[in-house]
Amino acid sequence: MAYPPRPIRPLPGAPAEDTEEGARTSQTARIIIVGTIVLGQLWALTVALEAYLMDERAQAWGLAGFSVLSFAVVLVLVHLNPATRAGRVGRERRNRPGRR
Amino acid sequence: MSSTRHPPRERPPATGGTGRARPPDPDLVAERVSRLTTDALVTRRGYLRIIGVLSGGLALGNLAVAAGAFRRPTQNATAEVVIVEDAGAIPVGGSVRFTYPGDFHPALLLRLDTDVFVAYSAVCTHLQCEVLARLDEGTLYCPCHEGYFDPATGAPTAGPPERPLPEVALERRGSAIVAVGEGGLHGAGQQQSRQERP
Repeated sequence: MAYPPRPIRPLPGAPAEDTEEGARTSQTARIIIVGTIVLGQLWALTVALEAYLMDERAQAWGLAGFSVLSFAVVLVLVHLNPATRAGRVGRERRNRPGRR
Repeated sequence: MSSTRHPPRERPPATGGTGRARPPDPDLVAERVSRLTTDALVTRRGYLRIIGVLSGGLALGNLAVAAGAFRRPTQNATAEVVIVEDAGAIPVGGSVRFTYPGDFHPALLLRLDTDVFVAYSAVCTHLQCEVLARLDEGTLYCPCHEGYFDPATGAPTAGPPERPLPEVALERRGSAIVAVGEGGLHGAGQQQSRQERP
């Protein structure tokens, strides 16, 4: 007799991001942080253009460095994407040897 | 109070030209309901990636700005252009419009005194309209947004422009006046003393 698959729930004491709600909250928070960083980059771009046109090259390069660093932080936040327990277990099941 | 509202008009059923009502296609109905009720196709992870790409583009753009992708027309110009063959033909307080360094970059040669000639790029530093010489009023004037510049330095004196007009470096060769490059931004330090014109 075939049983339906058991629902996968977070283990007791698991981090909040193991639940769907926790993962959703984490992603929303990262979207807000990354959006704020992008707003800072937009500001830096306008100030850098103004500085370059005023022949203040050092300031323009400094702002470019700030923008690149911001992008690095954004990259970390985008790739910091922990899977929920349901996602992890599902992936393990799909990758189990012998599965067609 | 009696209501005067009419009941909604019902659309006649589609007959397909046969005169008989056609039942709705259940697959089509299911697809339409599915379109209305399913979640948005872009997930939170998708939004994060989109913003990440935007951030990378901004970083690249900022590097391009610092590297000089959007330079002023006169910046690093080395061309030599004879503006006037006979400088004496320009009266004191007079001006000559010319183009420098290219044909699409207007500039102004001003004779401020007997032996004082200055030239500026005539591209307004606000939104790039062409600046006009109004030396009888002691100013350079941008008609687009009422911008004013000091003819002696190129510094903005009123209106929306914040940056000075780039000066064009001049050389006297006999009686001729030749533009030989950019002379810098001489009015840059004078923005703090800007005064509104009455």
